[in-house]
This record gives sequence, C-alpha cells and structure tokens, in this order.
Amino acid sequence: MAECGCESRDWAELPSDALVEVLGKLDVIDLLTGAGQVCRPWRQLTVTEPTLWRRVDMCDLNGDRGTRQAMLRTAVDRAAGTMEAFSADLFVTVDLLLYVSSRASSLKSLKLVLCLGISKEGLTEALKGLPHLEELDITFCSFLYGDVCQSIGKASPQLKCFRLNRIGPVQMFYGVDTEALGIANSMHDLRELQLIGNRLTNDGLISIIDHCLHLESVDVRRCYNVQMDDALKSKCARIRNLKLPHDSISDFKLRDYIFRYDLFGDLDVVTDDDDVYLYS
Amino acid sequence: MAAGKPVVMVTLVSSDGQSFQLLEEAALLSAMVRDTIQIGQGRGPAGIPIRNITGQTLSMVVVYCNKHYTAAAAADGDDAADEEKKVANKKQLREWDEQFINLEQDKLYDILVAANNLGIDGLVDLCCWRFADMMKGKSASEIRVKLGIRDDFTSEQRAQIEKDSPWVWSRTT
Repeated sequence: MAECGCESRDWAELPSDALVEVLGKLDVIDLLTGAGQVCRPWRQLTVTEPTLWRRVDMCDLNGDRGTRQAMLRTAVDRAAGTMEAFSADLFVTVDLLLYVSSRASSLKSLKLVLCLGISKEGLTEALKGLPHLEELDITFCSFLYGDVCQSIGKASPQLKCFRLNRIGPVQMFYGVDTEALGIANSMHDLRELQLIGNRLTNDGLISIIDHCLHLESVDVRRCYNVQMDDALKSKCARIRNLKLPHDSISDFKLRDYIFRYDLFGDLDVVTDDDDVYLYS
Repeated sequence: MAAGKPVVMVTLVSSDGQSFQLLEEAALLSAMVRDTIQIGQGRGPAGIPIRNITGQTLSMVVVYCNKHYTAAAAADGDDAADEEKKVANKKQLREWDEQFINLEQDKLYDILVAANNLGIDGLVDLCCWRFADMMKGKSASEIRVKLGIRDDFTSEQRAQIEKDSPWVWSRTT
C-alpha cells in the first residue's frame, strides 16, 4: 500500500471501488477523451463499468459532427443498456436517435436541444423503443411540433415531465391548440409541463389542466395567445408552480437564443456538409 | 449531545502506533469501526488497530469525523422548523469540507485510500469530488503528468484505442 512513507502514490492502482467513485463524478467527455484513456486499469474500468455511463450529457461540445456522433455511439455501447439520461444538441440525427433507442431502452430522461435534423416520424419511431421515458425535453427543435404531441404521449405512457419550447413567436400569431390538445389527450400522468413560446389559447390550456390531473408545474411563458382571465385563473389555482406568458425568462438556460430572436426576428440556421451553425 | 448520556470514547491506533481518542459516536461514521464494535471488540484499552494508515493520515480522518459528528449532533438539536438555519449550517459544513480537502495530491491520495478502507462514505465522496475536479477538462497525457502515472498501453491496445476512440489522439499527443 502506498501509505508506507513511500515517495509517491500509485494513482494507477487506486482501489477499483474508489476509482469508480472518482470516474463517476466526471462527464462522459472527460471519460472519453481524458481520464478514461490514462492507463490500462483506468481504461479497463471505463470499458467494463456500465454505471459510469448512466447519465450522458453531450450538450455544448466542441469538435466536428462526426466525432461527436462517434462519441455518442461509444457512450451508448459502454452503458450496455443501463443508460438513464441522455441530452444532446445539434449533432443528433434520426439514425443516432434510433441507435440510442435500440440499445438504451432503460432511458428515463431524453433532452434534445436545437436538433434540427430530427423529424416527427423519426422521433416517434425512436420513442417506441423507450417505454420507460419519464422526462422528455424538446427545445428549439424546429420540426417537432403539431400532432407530434399525441404520438409522444402514446409512445411514452410514463411521461411525468414534458418540455416543448420554441423560440418564437415574438409577436401575436393566431392561436393553435394542436399541441395542447395532443398533450391533454395523451399525457395524463404529467407532473411538469413547459411550453415556452407556444401558440396555444385559453381553450388549449384549460383542456390540459382538465385532463392532466397530476400537474404541479406549468410554464407558459411567451405564450401570448393565453389571456389570464378570471376563468383561467381559477382553473390554474391548483397548479403549485405557474409561470405566465409575460413572466421573465431570465432563469431559462437558453434564453440567449430567444433574446437574439427578439432582436433580429429570426433564427438563422445554416447547414453545410459537416455541421450546423447558428447565426444571430 | 443530550445531557445525561454516558460519554463513550474509543481509541484508534495507526499503523505507526499513534493513538487517537474520539467519541465512539464520531468513530461510528466508519463502517469498519461499526463492524468491529458490533462484534464486541474495540472498546478495550488496546483500542482498534487501523492497519495501513499512518498517524499523519489518521489524524486528518479523526478531524473529519469529529467535525461531521458535531455538525450532525447540532442539527439534531436544532428547531426542525427553522429551514433557514438548516440551510446555513449545511452551507457552512460544505465550506468547511472544501477547505479541509484542499490538499496536495499525495495527501489526498492517502486520505482517499484511508476513507475507503475505513468505509467513511462522506469522506470518500469528498475526496472523489476533489480528485475528479483535478482531472476535469484535462487530456489523458496531462493527467498522466500531473499524477505521475505511466502510459502502460501495449502497441495492440494503442491500436485498439485508435480504432474505438479515434478522437483521443488529438488530445493526448
């Protein structure tokens, strides 16, 4: 043992239970590029210890698209069916999502941010392989809206938390309740709902409150077709945590995209062969 | 400590023969001490021999146990409804932890191994956070240099890494 007055300690030979604890506190990126490739015992542990890959957060990564996709595949493989939470942005494609879905059926939380390459059909297909999903966050994914909610609700019967956030509209558009009704009709177990920038109307929100009886938290910031009249206020009285259309979004992590949209009127997205870039 | 409760002390003896007396309840933070006392040993004057852990390291572990036992005992005595005080105390303990564990890496290693052997979960966790913090955002080669770890991969293993993790080399070489 190192505790003998020796000059230096052998970090490579740290007891494996302690090493699992240490590595378990690192992000997957550190496991994949740093600590997990230091020496034989450490690498061995990252390859054979699926618990290290339970929570995979691949948002805000540098590097080209292909590399990030390869990293995700490795993380999914090493989790060996035990992954519980996955979040990623931009680089996720339908193929990748199906890869996750076919190998990580244990997933409870899925978060997709700015995944512009994912279609409704692709998402719905992937969700069929994730029956334990309790949390789904779809933020600024331009093609995921409308009747997708009904399919999501059907595919994910255990959903407790649903977030469907859109950047716009900054000005009043006509009201659309397709998403609200899809939620009301199919997500009866919801506890938490976030619909920033949605076009739903009072009717849509009332339908949700009437059908999702376990709701504790509702966030309809920037949903300017919702008018908080007395009828709606009394409907919402049982919601413990309610955020209204004109409430501040300063605590919303991706608020900068919204501020930029408000300033310039559009989210300018440019796609080329290698990557997707966002410009303000 | 509730008044009238008998004070039971226990002695831990390091591998180099140094003795440390502390409240039995503080020592019970260690699963190893718990097990020893449960089978009816360790309360005698000879104390509990702690193999492989020197006095220098054990003295730090004892400081940790005393602090955390005292904090837990004080929290028990507090008004349960006083949320604000609870939060403040927790924050204070966290700050104490951070200062306590802000050690150079050899000492951190010794305490991690000691806490692991003694089964003190909170201290293991604290050491692991600190250790992980030291490695965050660093490439494999930077970590090797920092911790004095030898790159022991064979050429076959290197080829394997190149195959399954091609992104590594841009960061390690």
